[in-house]
Amino acid sequence: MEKKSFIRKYPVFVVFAVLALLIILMAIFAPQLSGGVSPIKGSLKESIKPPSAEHPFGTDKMGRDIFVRVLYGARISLSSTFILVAVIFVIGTFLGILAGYFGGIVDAIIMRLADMMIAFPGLVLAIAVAGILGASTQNAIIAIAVVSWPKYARLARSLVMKIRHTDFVAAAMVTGSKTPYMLWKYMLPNTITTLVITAATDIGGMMMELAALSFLGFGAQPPNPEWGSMLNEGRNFMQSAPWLMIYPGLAIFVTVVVFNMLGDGLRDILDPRSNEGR
Amino acid sequence: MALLEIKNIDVSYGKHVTVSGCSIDLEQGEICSVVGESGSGKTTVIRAVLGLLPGGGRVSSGDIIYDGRSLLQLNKKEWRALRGHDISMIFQDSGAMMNQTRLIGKSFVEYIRTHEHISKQDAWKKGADMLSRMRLPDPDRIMRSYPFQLSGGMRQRVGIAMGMTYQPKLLLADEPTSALDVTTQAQIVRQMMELRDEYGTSIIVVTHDIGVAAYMANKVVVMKDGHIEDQGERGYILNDSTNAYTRKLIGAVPSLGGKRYV
Amino acid sequence: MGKKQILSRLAQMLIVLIGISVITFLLTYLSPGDPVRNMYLAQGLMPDEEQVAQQREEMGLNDPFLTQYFRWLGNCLHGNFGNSFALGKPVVTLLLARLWPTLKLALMSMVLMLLVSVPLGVLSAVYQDKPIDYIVRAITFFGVSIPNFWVGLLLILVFCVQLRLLPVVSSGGTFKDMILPAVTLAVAMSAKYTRQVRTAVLEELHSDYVIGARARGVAEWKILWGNVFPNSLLPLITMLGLSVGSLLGGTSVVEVIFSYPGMGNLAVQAITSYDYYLIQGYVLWVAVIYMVINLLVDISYNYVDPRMRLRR
Repeated sequence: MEKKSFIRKYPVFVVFAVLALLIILMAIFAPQLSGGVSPIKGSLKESIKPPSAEHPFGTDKMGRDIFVRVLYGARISLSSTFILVAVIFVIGTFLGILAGYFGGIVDAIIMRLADMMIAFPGLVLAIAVAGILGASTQNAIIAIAVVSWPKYARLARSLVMKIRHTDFVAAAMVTGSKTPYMLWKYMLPNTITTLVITAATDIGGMMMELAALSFLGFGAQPPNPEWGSMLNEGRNFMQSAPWLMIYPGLAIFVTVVVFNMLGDGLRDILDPRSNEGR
Repeated sequence: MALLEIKNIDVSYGKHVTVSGCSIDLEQGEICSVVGESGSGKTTVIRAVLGLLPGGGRVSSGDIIYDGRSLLQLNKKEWRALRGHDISMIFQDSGAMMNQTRLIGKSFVEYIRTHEHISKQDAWKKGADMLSRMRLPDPDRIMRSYPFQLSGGMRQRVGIAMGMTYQPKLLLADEPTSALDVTTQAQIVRQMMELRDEYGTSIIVVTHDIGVAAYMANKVVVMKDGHIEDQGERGYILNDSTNAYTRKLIGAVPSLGGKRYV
Repeated sequence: MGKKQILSRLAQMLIVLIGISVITFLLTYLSPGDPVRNMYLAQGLMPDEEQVAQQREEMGLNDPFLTQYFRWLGNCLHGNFGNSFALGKPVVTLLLARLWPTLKLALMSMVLMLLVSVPLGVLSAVYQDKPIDYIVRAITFFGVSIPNFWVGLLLILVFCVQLRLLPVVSSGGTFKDMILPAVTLAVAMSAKYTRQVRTAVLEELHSDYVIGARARGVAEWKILWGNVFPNSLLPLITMLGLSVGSLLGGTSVVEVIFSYPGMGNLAVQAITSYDYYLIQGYVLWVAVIYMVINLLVDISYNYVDPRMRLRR
């Protein structure tokens, strides 16, 4: 496919892919972009300064530059979100394919487990898990992964069941293909597109859930800059320093918008049928 | 004067023309069959007559004259008064064309009250009467049933009964027998012909089944790839036409009700 | 749904319930801290080793896993969820006091959500691909992309700090206290639900019976409000039941922001003070509430739809 025709065909996807890349680059080059200003150490002389040329997003109680903290916050938010989505994608898909392929007792165990996880309202269990494991970014990821994998497992299972009994699979099995080969060669490729679309459209939502946990104090811990926990710190200064909660929130919002649009764009490319009625 | 004149119409979806240069005349009391393979545009033509082209289709040139006036000039209110009153349509599965979660009686009442200002009770009675006039057994039970509770043949007869409530001058039938078994097919075909004989209803029947077409029609229109390939009196099409496509269609004739009508 | 299906549904529910109880129990059983030590810590005491060992024996914490689990389950079934370490009261009492405020809040935001999303969703479906549809879709897109805790903070900033119209802290649980928390919860849910309403109505609009009704001359508004809308309610009821889940999760965040006296707020406090029995109770209660709501939804769905009711 030519470059030009791709851009013309999927302008939305290209624009938001570029924006997403820009956000990722900003996270990677946060130290360079911030000009070496530390996101953690501030000077009390600079405490609670409104946005100015020197501090475009203002400063917080500790005199830390909010712009720099938002930049560094992108590192934590993006990396933890990507890890989270990757974890639930891999675990969910793996278990779903196993359940769909083997059926019987394996299927029953995996799917009942999924039912149980789904029976809990997501964030409620995640809060409990994060709270009990102790507050950290890693535990927040575990907490949300625990309640989010069933969606992928169910999807992968239903996709595998669709092709499980088709002729070409039966033929491959009759000719003596080994199970791991069957899973890798036939089951995975048939589920991967739909699951990738799901994962891509989930990025935004997962980012918000992680931020919600941090906001409640169950995710990244201060003084580390994370958007959700920055909002939590900022809400005590709402009257005197509203910028403390405006910019980190805006950062979450913009990032989620970009990744949601990217996900929708990807879905339109990989699965044009689903475009209808959306 | 003809009851219906389809004058050289094109039907377009956006810039894409799906049916082109289609003309059909229909006299009072005449039955015209439109035959062709699926995708030939035959359903599109009768949908266009009722102004019900699906998904943004429109008649982009030509005209459709019904009873002396152009249908393409009608406003929404005039359309509503015409549809189901002067012109009725029956479908491949008329039962599916009713709301599945409502009693047939309720849909019938809704329909009657669209065209007449009468009470719900009276409308219900009129509906039940209509069913019994069309010789359907146990009309009250049918009125109190949901569409999915009836057999395919029964549903189709209910659809015809509904369509005949106001003795329309024109009945449009879209594959009315294709979803039915052979015996029921014959029943429905006969019933439609009786309508013509009793009420003088003109009928356009769209079908891919040339057996049905030939049995019912005075006039046959053969469509292919969005245009009219051949048309003429029944006898001409069956016996005299030299059109290769027509001959091919007739060569592949299925039988109806166990006996050949052609 | 026939009696048979209801029974099998109940049986399934029982299995899931057992699973829920095991998971809930595991939550604290596997937790890294020692509950006894935490209990003392919650009360601000520093216990010595002997006290801890004695207490552990008394609470049966040295028993095998299954013994502990069944004892705990038996107590739960008798309505005894233990005592809160930090607050010194039975968990049941504490949760019961917070149950109604949370349900009240959830209900109010749900009503708000329906008031917004149903008209918008129907409008957007009926005028598919017209300007109004694009506007609604744009609004819902931003609605699902905005974190609800930020919405809450922005609302406080505007209505409480700048305009001084409403109280910042909603600890009273009065109607006025509920407005902002309910609006906050409703924003994200309305966006999601508007999309679902739109999809459901669109699907119905493309049904054959709509063409049938048009062919019979039935007026568009009658088709829409007499047929399409009631029919699209069927799937929407199910989705409404499922959205209760995110609603219950969302209440905890929103309750914290507004210091609203609900279960979620209590639970978050419980977690910060390692108040295990309270956390257990909260998770179990919410899961059961969620489950019962969805069971009722399923049953009502089957009752409302004649296709479910009458087909063999």
